[in-house]
Amino acid sequence: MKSKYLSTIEQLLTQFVISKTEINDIISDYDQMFEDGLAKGMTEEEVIEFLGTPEKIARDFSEDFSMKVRRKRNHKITALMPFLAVITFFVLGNFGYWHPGWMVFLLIPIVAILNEHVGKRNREMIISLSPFIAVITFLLIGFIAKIWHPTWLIFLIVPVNAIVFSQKHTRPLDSLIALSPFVAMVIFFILGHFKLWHPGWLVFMIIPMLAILHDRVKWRLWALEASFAVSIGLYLYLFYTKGVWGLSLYVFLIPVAVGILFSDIEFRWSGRPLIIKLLVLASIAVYVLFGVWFGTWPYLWVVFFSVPIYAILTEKKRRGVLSAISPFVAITLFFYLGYFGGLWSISWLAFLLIPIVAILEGK
Amino acid sequence: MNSQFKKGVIEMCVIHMIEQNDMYGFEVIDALSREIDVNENTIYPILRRLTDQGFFETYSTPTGIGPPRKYYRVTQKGQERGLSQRKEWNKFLKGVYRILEVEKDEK
Repeated sequence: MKSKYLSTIEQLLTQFVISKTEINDIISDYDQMFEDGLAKGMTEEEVIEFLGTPEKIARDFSEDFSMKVRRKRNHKITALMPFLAVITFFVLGNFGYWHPGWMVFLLIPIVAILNEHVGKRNREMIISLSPFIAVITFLLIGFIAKIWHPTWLIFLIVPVNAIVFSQKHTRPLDSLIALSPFVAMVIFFILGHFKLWHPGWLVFMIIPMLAILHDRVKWRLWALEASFAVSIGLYLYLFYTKGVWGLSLYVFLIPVAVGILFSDIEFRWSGRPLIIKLLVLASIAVYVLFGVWFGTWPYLWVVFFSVPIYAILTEKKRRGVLSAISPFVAITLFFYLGYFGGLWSISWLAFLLIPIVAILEGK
Repeated sequence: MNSQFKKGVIEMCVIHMIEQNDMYGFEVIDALSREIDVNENTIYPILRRLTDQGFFETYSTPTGIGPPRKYYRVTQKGQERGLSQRKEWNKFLKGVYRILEVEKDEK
């Protein structure tokens, strides 16, 4: 029975890209472990159950070896694609289809992604392919029907797919929260189309309001939701009756105050490094002094970002630093382009920095 | 429990056990499966992978019966890996316990 057991393992291992020496070594190890099991008083059946059937063993090794098989085969197709694309491009060009014939070059990354994901879970493939699907759809509709706008909204499938198909967000509420920025963007854009950029931006409040739903303490949840609702109402009232939108923004300190009051937002002052404390004090000083002297209240609040950014730079491991900082950069760009340039309709694109940086950084 | 998470924990335990004493394959599987609910067949591939990655080195001693027995010994790299894993694990556990304590207080 032992020799049959070992020969079956050997046979199954030969399916992988693995050297003969390595297979012999593995078989020798199983031979020795089999003997050790018998020496412990186990029967042959018990030893096999203990060490695993040959099929189970092969399955456990598949994590280490099977990829080599696929990659070796698929690399050829991937490597051939640029040449095939060039040939197809010239053939199409010869018939007068230089444009949109050039789009065949998009097949190069698409084929690479398809090959890379052969045998893997489909959702990974969908996430990887979505940028190309978006580009192709955008260009085809743009070139053929000249509807560039609002076809660009198709690019939202990139982050939306990533959220819907990612493993991290399995609970419906988590998915909803993760999707909320994009839902907000679409609503914001639609409102903007009807010249309602302002107060349309308030739709972004659904992001924290949905996130709060995570709170399991019900009374606190409702208190925070109510504080947001009151702030939005107050903001609209002040804006439409007094016409000062910059200062009206301060009503949003209400949910912050409620959060602090009910300990949902906690400031831990003790134990923080001196430099962080100094940075907090300096930020407050800069914000207040510049506000009093130059009236910079509506836009100098970004100075407070210096505190988390400094903390990230000093506490985070090197990998992931840019991804962690990107939301602060995105918010700053979004606000400044909108505030100083009046570019609210496109400044939200700054938020795409977040997934782009995350992808580049390999998160 | 998530299988990848479990594999990570097993990897840490295997390194720690072999740090205490040089061990042979069957001994590692036997000792580990006595303490943790684990598929025994998953342990050997982990042991082999860690050896390939330079965390263990092996030497053989004759047993009198069957093939010579292969012992695993932790390398310097393995010791460093074990230490960093234990640090990460302790930090992780502290965080988990803190969260659980907070939840208990709320109830």
